[in-house]
Amino acid sequence: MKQRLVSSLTPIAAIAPFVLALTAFVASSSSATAQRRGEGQQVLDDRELMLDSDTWIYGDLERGLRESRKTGKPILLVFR
Amino acid sequence: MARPSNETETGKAVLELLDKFVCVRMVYANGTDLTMFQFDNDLTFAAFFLNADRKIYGRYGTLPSPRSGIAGVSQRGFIAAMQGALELHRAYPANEASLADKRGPKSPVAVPEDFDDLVEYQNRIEWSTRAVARSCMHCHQIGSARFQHYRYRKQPVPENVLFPWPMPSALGLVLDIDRAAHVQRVDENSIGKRAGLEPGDDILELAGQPILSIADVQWVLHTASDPCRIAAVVRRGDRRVEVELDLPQGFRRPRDGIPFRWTDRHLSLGRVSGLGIGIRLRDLNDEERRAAGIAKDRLALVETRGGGRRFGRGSLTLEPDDTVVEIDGLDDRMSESDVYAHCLQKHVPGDVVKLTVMREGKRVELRATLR
Repeated sequence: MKQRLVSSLTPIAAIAPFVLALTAFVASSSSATAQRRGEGQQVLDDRELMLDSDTWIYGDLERGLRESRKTGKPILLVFR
Repeated sequence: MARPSNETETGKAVLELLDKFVCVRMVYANGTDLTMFQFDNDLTFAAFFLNADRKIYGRYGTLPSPRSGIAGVSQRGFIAAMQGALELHRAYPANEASLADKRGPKSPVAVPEDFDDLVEYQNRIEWSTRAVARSCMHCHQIGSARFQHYRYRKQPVPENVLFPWPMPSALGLVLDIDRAAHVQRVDENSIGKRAGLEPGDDILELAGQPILSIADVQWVLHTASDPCRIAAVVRRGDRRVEVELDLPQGFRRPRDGIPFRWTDRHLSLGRVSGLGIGIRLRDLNDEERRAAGIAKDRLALVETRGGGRRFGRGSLTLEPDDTVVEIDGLDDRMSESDVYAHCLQKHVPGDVVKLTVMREGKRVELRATLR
């Protein structure tokens, strides 16, 4: 299960930050509302995908710190 | 950075290394501890390596030219940074003292929502379809809000807020994006050259901090005092070589024009100075100076964009080919960055800046009100 998730989800997680951020940057005022709706959906889709991940902890540094303490692994924290 | 995939050796290596970390993904900036997590807010991909004691090992993520998107990062460079972080983790806590300055000075506000421009945000996201995008704070907003924090208080904007995250080019260095901090080129007459750095050197330490990436080099430059001297340790072949880098006053200021950043797209020289949206000032070269009868050590910045766009009727702008030869009575040679810093460090919004420009062979006095 984990292997499957690592191979299928991690690559998406690694590039999704670019996609979301660039989407935000190219927003034009005339389509701001529609763009915001689309951006919101992308964030939600991304979250749904990531919440199921065995590899990534989504939006919860405190949980990451506890996990790091428990496993002895260092933390890789990625801001999109 | 391309998507890592099991189909390539480097992709496989990235995925294997991820397994050695607790991976945490933040897609919003709301609630971020700004003293702990200081990074280039214009990045679309910024990584920290840290441990459960909240000790930072290093950073990854570089935007050499903000218009170039993701060109400052690579899978190989990311691998090198991850491997370096794992080494530091194995050596912890014996190396704890060397990590102290990986954390920056106290932020003027604790969390982004405390900035004047971001008070409308909460420290969490509204996870409903309608509200999620509106409630999600973007990292680049922090950079803009930090800048305005000083302006609203009529305080000088600090040098490292005006010119954040200097590239290694500030030292005259080009580093290989596929390695941790490997010197590819050293420019003549540069800080790096004067220090004795050579192509092929691997920068291991700067200012006593272990270096995992180009972002770590930028971090040291971003937090360095101005001017200062910093120690560097490099690997040259099988030797460790120690050098000292002398960073002169204003070392962060780009000499060849202020690069575009999302953070300050509303905060350009033309906008804050009131001189017209879109202006760019270029230092006249020797030949142009000779032709114009301007000495080499005197101010001579020509407007290159064909004049600024006006803010409104009657507002002041620079005209096409105007050459600024004096600002507030100063006529020492300056770059566009120096003029920008002058406006934002010697003046506060509402002040009037006096300029003298050469326009069609005549000296013209202009007064611009800082916005």
